[in-house]
Amino acid sequence: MTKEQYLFLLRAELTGKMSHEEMEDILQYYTEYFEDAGSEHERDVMMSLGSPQRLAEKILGQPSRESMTPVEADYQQVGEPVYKTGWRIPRQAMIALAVLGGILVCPTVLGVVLSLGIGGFICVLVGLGVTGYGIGQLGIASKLYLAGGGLAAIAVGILMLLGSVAVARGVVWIVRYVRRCIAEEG
Amino acid sequence: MVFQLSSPLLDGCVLAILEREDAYGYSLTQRLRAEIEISESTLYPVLRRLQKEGCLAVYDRQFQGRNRRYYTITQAGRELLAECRRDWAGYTGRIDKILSGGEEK
Repeated sequence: MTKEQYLFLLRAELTGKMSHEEMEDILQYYTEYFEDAGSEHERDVMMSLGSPQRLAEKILGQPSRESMTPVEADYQQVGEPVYKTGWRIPRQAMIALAVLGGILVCPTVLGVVLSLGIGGFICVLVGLGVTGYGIGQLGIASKLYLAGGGLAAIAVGILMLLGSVAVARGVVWIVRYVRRCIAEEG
Repeated sequence: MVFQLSSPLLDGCVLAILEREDAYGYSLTQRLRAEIEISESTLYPVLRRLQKEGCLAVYDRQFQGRNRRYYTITQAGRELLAECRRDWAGYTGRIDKILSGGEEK
């Protein structure tokens, strides 16, 4: 989880539970807090803050001094232990979600990758054939038309092949990202 | 052994740091964490409350092209700090007396 994701989730947790001004003040505080901590300490800060849900609970749960009797105020403990594992979503649930998502999404993605790849390949082959045939024609007009059409088909085929590779790489990237998230939160 | 820090005492600690110089959220937290065990999420509600009570004020300053919010102590904050120091001295005096076996130091 990046600090942007963390702050986004914190905003979601606080939305509707306080005035807009108050919420912006909190988000500004923690945005600056992350920036002052530096990107190298981003994870430590998140660990110490606990999950966004936990942090929101702490912020919302802090009673004001006026609403407490002096005795309550004196006994309100603030030196709480540092949260090490505040994540609400257990690791198993994350993995289950990832696997379920994978089962649903995989065939679709595979279909897209294969059809783009095979389609692109056929396009290039046909384009080459037509271009070759076109160059062999005697009439200048038919030569231009056929060769031009063939070249266009080759271009489309190459684009489809590139699309197929891009989709495949995108999926690999997403899988890696999810795995990293699971590893980080586990 | 861990002694729990009560809310008024933490208020006093924050005000005492700010009495020496203005500070921003992260530096204030780190200075406290160097001495006492508090989580990074402890301070915001404390600062917000002290600000609402008029014990401290904020101002923004640019730092490396971004904003940084500084906290500064007010007159009301100084008074609360003085009160906290007085109470703390009395309290530790009494505890010392008990711990040392009843003799006043």
